[in-house]
Amino acid sequence: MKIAISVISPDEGMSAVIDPRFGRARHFLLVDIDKREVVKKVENIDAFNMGHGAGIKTASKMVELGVDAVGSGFVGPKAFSVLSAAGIKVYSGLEGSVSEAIKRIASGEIQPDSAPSSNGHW
Amino acid sequence: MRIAIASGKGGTGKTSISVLLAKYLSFESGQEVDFLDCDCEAPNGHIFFQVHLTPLKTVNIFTPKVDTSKCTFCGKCSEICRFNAITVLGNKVAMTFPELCHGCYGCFRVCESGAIKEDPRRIGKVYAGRHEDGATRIHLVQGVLRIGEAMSPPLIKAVLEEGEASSNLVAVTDCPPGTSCPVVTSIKGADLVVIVAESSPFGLHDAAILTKVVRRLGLTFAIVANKVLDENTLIHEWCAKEGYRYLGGIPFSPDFSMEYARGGDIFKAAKRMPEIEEVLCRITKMVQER
Ligand code: SF4
Ligand code: SF4
Repeated sequence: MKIAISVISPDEGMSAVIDPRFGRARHFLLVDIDKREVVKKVENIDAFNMGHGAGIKTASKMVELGVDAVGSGFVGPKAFSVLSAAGIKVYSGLEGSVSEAIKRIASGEIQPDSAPSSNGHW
Repeated sequence: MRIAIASGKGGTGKTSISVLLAKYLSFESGQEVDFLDCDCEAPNGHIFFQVHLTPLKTVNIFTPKVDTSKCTFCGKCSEICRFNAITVLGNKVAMTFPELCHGCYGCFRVCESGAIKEDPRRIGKVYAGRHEDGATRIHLVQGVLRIGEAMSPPLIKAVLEEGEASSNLVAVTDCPPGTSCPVVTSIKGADLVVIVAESSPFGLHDAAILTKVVRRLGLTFAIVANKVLDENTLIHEWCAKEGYRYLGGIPFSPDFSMEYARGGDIFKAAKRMPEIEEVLCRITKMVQER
């Protein structure tokens, strides 16, 4: 399973720090959950600079990337509706490093959301 | 002749000045004056004129609805939309986010398969009423934005259109706070923009941003300092330094503020402050010069 996680420091690989914002995160790391390794770094600068609808833009990008899941601190309602329409799982409430988050997801400690985790503006 | 009263920062006294100015102009000219309340998120000019308002019209904007049976999922609509109000996922889903849509028809025009249908969204209503009190007559028009709606410019345009259709020669526009689209829409085409700057660092900061917008639009403007405490000359000095026309300073008055807050007789309260009349008189002179 491939998951895209919003991060602040993409160059630190699995030790990278998670960015709590989904829509306006500058960077994402695509991680292979089974292999526990970073597959790809993705920049998200255009959505970061967007006045409105950054969440929608970022979510559409995730769809293009073909990920199975996304992970972040908070995912707003518009991004959530795009992701769920595309059948992408959303793991929110993540913090700390990517490797910790992956561990918690793989162990089943964290379950995918069934509703958006913030009411926007993240 | 349209005078727009704007400020940048909120709560600087736009509505007070607008209301007082409209009444003053009507009294001085002996004619009815239009009062166009473009602060559609919280229109309140009518409180001070005590007018009975009647609804004139409902304002709708275009929002797209995708007919998925005709859609080829080419993604052109989503590419042209600057507001991410429409997005196409792979070749199965086209989603719209009406609350982000600005009603520009962009998606509608680029769609080659006629899959985009119009799904009008009600954004608000325009109301109007008349006030008569001795020698002053006001024709008040206001826009009221639907609760939950964020897109006020089309409603503001509808209010301004009512003003244009009116036979009165002078109109005072009470603008919304800020410096973004609603303000630009409200001041565009005005013959004079009066910037009400609160005499504080915050007030100066926002008035300076608004001044940039006004200059960019090529409009004539002048500045009033309001809520001036003691001998504070912040705004006056700024105007002198930049070479902007300064119309005077109105002192901070708890008496006036209280009258305003309870929707009372601010005309009476204003009479106790000679600085207000001086400012109104200077604005009138500027109007006559043009
Ligand atoms: S432009 Fe028209 S056909 Fe293309 S994706 Fe949008 S709605 Fe569908
Ligand atoms: S009308 Fe304009 S703003 Fe609205 S969805 Fe279409 S392109 Fe976007």
